[in-house]
Amino acid sequence: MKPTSQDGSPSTDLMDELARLTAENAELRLINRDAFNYIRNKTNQLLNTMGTKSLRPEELEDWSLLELDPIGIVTQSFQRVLENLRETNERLQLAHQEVKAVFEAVGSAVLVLDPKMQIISYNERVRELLLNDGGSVTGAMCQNVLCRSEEAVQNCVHRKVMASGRPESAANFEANGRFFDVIGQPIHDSLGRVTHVVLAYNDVTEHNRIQTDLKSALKEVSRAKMQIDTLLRSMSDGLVATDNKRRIVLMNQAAEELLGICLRDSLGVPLLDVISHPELRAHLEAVAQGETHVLRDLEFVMADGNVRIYHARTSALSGATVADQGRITLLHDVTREREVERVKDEFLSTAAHQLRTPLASVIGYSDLLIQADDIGVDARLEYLSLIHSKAEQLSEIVSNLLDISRIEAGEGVALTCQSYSAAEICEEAISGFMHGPSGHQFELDLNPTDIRVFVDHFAVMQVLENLLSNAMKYSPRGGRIVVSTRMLNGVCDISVRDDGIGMTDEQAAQAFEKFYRADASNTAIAGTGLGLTIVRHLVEAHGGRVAIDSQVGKGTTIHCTFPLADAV
Amino acid sequence: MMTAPEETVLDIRGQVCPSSLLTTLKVLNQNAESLRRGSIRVRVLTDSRDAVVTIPNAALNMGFKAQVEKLPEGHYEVVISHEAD
Repeated sequence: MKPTSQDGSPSTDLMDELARLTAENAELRLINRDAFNYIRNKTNQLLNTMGTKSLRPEELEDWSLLELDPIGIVTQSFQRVLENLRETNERLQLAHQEVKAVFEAVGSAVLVLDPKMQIISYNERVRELLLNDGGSVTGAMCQNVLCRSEEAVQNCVHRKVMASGRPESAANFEANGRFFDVIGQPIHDSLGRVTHVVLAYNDVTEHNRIQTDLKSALKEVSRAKMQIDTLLRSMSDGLVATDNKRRIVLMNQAAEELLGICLRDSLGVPLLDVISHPELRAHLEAVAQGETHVLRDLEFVMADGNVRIYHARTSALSGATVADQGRITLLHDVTREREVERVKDEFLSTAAHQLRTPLASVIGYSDLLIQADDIGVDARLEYLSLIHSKAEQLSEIVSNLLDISRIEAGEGVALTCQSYSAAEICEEAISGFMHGPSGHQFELDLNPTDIRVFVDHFAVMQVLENLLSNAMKYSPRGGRIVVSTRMLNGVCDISVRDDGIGMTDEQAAQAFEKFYRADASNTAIAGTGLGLTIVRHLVEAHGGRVAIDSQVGKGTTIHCTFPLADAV
Repeated sequence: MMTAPEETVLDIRGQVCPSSLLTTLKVLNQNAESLRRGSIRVRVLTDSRDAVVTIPNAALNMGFKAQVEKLPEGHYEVVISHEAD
């Protein structure tokens, strides 16, 4: 309803008031529009900052905009964003401190380079290990500070990382007389570009030295092992080693064959579980009980049926304590030694008998000469001749013993060789036996042409006298003994043949062995068992060989070879 | 033992950016502490392609985690949760 005057028309005052209000209203509308535009603009500014579009007027009309309070919303969100940034910064700062601590604490020298190889930062270890002077190198170019050699430039890890964009490495970079393994790690930006390269230099000088020493030691150990293996393989003695639990850890081939055990199958197995030989078991058990220096002679039946004697000795391997100690058992073949001992005992018995018989004669006849006053001149001469003969016999025995003793002691045989006629030597040798009481017939069977030999006269005579003496002892009285000379394959073969009792093959095989006598029980035949051994030594000292050809009941021929004079 | 967070579903399908962003921000502001503690998560359903970029970006800037998945029904699901969830 419009205000009216008394005549029904609007009064002037009212009209004025209306006009004023209308104008005021229009002004307010303008202010409102400006205010909303301001709010809308600020809201859009904030929304654009948030990365989204501006509000379209038709999307949210003015009063709804006011009611939604976008500025309040976005401001509150910004508070949260700032808070998040602050927390993120704190975490980054902490992480930075941690990285810095690691950077300095790490044992490697660490360099951070930009893509152009300029040094951005580095830790203290760089100064200690890589740099000579104390000045700062931040901002310097890496190649001017570190990689001065062409080789180092060629193997530049920075260059490799920049090319591949991936971690790279290089070995044995040399600087300041030390060696380093270098690892390069790229740092990428959000677009994947390499912005920095971190180079870590790990000092491997000591490691390399240790590795070289280790290789050398391993080589030495390997060589020693090979030597030990060769030694073990070549050992004729059986060897078994056990650990502190008495389990087999080592065994050589000789032990495998002797015990019938294969190392491959028995490695780590307790030794007593695989040993069946009762005496060896008893030996090992005695050692296990703590008996020390237990030595035993054990008999083993070999594959060929022969019995051999082994000497078993077990000793401790070094260890920190007795409980830690392994043991090593050696089985040494003493068959030969035992046989020699037996023969020697037999010889001593025989020699004693041989010495005693002539000694008894010497003592008997000399007693007679001392005590009897009524001995005639002829009888006295006969007794003295007998004493002389027995003394010569004793002398021969002693002489042989001394010869063999000297040879065995390693003094060898000293020869003074000259050229001699073999025929003349043989004739000379038999001449001393030709008219003996035994009545043996001596014959010479000489080579059609005389042979000149290069020998020691005394030694060859000793050889022939021994052979002739043996031929006489082992052939019947009046028997035929033939001394022959022959040219044979560039040497002179001198042989002595008899028609005596001969020998079996087994006896012949041992005839040249020391103290061996073919028939030791026959004490009627004087001898020491040394004659043929001396013969062998003397012939071999000339570079010759001895051989025996014998048949039981038919006789024996002994051949000796000597060098020709014109061959020397 | 960790308990599963409650879920607040904000269905703003039909709204376009930036009003969808403003609506989401308003909810995030209201639940900021609970989100920080990890006791709730906000699942926003929207069919605005712009919103699946602006909403996750804003959430990440505020220190939250956002995962976007397009559902078989044709609209998007933006799950906003605590960073450690």
